[in-house]
Amino acid sequence: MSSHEGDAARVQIAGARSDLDAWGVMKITVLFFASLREALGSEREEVPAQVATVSALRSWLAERGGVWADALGPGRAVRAALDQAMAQGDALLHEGAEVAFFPPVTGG
Amino acid sequence: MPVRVQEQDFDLSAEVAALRAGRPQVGAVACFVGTVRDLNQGTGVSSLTLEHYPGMTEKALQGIVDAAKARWTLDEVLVIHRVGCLAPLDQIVLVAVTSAHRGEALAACEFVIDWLKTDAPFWKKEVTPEGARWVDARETDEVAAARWGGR
Repeated sequence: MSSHEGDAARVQIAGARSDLDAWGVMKITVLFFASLREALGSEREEVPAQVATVSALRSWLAERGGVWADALGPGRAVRAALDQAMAQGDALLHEGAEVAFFPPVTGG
Repeated sequence: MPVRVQEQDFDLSAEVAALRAGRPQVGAVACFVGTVRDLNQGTGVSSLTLEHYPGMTEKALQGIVDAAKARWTLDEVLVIHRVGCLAPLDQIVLVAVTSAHRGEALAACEFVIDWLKTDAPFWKKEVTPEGARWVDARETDEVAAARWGGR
């Protein structure tokens, strides 16, 4: 389902212009862990993101509605990592970035 | 390897012996072992599963070890964290710190487990009589880490 949406977005943007980078469209790998992975039924996705930051990516995913809005919407305790390091919402994305969303950690 | 994420159990005595071997400058060994309780938030726990973020986990643990070594004069720091299915009484985590003196070893050991609790990407899912549930993070863990005033 999500890959269809992703393809549609990619085609639409590619049709508009060939130099995708100039439009700020980046290929981002998104990972989900623990209760988020279970709620979303997804552990890994490649998304063409036309968003600049970690929090913008979260909002963009939440706009899919349904379980996505429930799990990632404002007010939910969601933590994020960018390129395998804990990240704040204002962290800037880049081409090929690996972003992970997960609940607060409970190890130890 | 000072940081290990593994399914198998660990032997505290063997790990400490290896950490101290051939290092007569060490005068103090501080260890913390976390274990699985049979009761959490008033409900019986029959087993739990530990999930983690391969790749990030090792980096996060190494970052915490590096921060401890920058903060105190330590000889060595070892962190072992288990993943997969565990039962009450099982060992979950070992933090072992060696130093010339006890003060630094004890403080660094507590620092490492406090930061591990809030910054290392592990998640526990418990099996209880009411079914399986993801463990909620505790605010007290954030407070414990925050009292170190950053890393």
